[in-house]
Amino acid sequence: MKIAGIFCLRLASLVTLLWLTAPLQILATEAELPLPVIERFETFGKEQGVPTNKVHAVLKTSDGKLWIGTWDGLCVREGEGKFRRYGPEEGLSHKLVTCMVEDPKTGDLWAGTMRGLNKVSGGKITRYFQTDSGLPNNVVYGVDIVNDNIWAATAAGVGALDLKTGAWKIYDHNNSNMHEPWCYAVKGAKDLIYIGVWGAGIVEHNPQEGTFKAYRDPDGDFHYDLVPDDGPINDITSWLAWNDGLLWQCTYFGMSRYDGKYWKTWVQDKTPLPSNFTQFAWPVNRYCWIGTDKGASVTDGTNWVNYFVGEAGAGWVEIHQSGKAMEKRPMSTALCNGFVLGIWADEKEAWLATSKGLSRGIFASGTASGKVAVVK
Amino acid sequence: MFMGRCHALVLGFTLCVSPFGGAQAGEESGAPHFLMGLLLPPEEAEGVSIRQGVELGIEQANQSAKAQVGLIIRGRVGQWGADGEEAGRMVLNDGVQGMIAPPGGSPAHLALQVSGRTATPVVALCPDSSVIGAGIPWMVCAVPGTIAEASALFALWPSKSTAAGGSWVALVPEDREGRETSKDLRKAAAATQSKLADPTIFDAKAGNESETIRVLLAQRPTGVLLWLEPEPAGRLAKQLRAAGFVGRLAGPSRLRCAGFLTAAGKAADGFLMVNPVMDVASRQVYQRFDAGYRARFGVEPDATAAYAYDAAMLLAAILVESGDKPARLAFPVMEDRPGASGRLKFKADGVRGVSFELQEYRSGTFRPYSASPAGREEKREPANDLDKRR
Repeated sequence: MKIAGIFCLRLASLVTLLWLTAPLQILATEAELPLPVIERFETFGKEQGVPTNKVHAVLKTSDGKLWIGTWDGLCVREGEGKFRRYGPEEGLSHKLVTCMVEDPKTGDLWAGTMRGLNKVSGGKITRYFQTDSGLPNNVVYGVDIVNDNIWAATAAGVGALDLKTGAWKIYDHNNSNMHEPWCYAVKGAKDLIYIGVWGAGIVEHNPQEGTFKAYRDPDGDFHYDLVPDDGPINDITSWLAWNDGLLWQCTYFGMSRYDGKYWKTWVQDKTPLPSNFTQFAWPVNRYCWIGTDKGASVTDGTNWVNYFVGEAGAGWVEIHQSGKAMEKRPMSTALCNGFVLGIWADEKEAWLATSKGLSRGIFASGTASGKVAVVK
Repeated sequence: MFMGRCHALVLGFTLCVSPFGGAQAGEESGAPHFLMGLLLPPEEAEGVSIRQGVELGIEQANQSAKAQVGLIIRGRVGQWGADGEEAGRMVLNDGVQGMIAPPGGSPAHLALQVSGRTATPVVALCPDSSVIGAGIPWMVCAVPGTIAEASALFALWPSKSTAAGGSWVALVPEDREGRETSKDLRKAAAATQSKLADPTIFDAKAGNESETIRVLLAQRPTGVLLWLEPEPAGRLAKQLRAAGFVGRLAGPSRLRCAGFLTAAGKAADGFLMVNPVMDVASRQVYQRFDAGYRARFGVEPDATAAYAYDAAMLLAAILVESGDKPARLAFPVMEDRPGASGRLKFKADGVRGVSFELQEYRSGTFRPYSASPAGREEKREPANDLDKRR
């Protein structure tokens, strides 16, 4: 009896010790990750002047201003933390802002909408439509700037506006090797342009040489990735992002990454990817933030940190670290909503646009965000 | 052509519903209101049937549902490719909570692209595998796919297994629609180990029908698939018979319509197609649909109207049952229900699961196919209530 009693006492002490040191262990876990870990979320909604719950895009410009594209206008966060709205009344071409990019030379903001492209410069909005400019189609899903050219991915081709000459070029299925004309994303990669084509994978365009190269799902199967890592996971490209030599492809059937030589693919049932429905990617260094319909992730391709929110609004994080069991724990604050449409992040913070508000992710102190992951 | 260039039609049923006034009517009746959108491009050949089927579907859904559903119809106004803008306008300006996408592959994809960015549910009327292949989780296809119909046709036509074998040729439309149809027909042939020559593109605007038929018949087929819109399919059926072709003519279930039968005339005799098997509950739905359609529009409904009716009934049910929750959460639709076009049963990816029976047009009606002439005489009972009125 006495031995048993001592054993129970020691066991209780051990449990107490483990419980007391749990936070230290978590920090140790996070410190080993080559990824940032969000400690808590801040929420921004109508109280802060965001006109609608549905936030589609978020961008922090080089002057530190935070811009959001919403279902009901373009907004900028002002000094006191309130958002100021620009809608069609102020000259915006349409109320739903789908995408944004900053011209690094001028600081001008370019915003794509469901009807037209906009340049926001010095408080003035200039609009571009398919009937009064070279914009291929009014529905603009993606925008980027490369070498003084604004590239707009539209529902009927991709258009490039030369900011020096004002001339437009249009590429679609008639003058390139796009299998379909529906461009859903565009991303510059140094001197190359990657065009995400709905139903036609990815088209790599070299503007200097005037060449096009198509990357298609090699197995051609809509529903399954029959051979992993053999190319783009699917031809329905929903978003593209590029940074530091890595191209990230979102699709509704999973996610892909291309390093210029090799492809890597992820699907929800065989990897930690939270959902096959991926709709946004934002790379930082060589890791990437991902927006899905079931939460947000950050991954270097090997390690994953996934953020979820339940029906009752409670949030939790799942950490998948190579060689270790998955760690799941509740969060004191949650992502606004699991339907994540846009992300902006650097090594200090992450902003997430969701279908029910804007979230700011505050990183846990001590987490390493800038380490380079090995690409396999 | 229905709608010509333009416009949004705002249609109210039971209660006067407008895109912005629907909520007021709902508040008065104490029931919430919902809006669905129908994207209907001006060139849609079966636009009238689609519009009427959807209108009737909503009207009848509203008679029994706890909440009222309104309808917005938009067609392309501007240049080619502007269907996406109209789909966006329905979702963002009109406030529809669900969309019905048209049979055409291009406008269907443009609607799906808007759906992908806005999480708006879609019930599609397009049979292309590429539409289901878009992977939108909140979408179902209300029509049987081309692959499913063609596979059933190949498998159920007994001549395929005879010593003579069945070698098919196919006529498909030009451009993207023909490309996708060809792809699906090839998949169906491969799945059923049937012989299908490379489909021939039929350019309705080129006016080279004689040459098309000459090239087609030079392949000495035992069967010709007319996977075209109703009017040109009927016209070509007539010309094929006039050119001496005595083999089988066949096509998709959408050709169960006056447009095809009128254009084909006597050449429609012996035409083969597959049709969803009707269970008892679906027959009852069909009878209500048929009676309502005749009473409201003064004509008999066709297969496309039945599919459109089912799409509207299904989407209305999804919207009403979702209530305050986002309707996208009702997907995948796993519960099956009876429909005017047969049982509405969907796989997890939104593909409609259908059991087919082979039917033959003979003596002015589509009937279950019977290999022997005697069997044809015995099988007097039409396979589908749609045929009883023919």
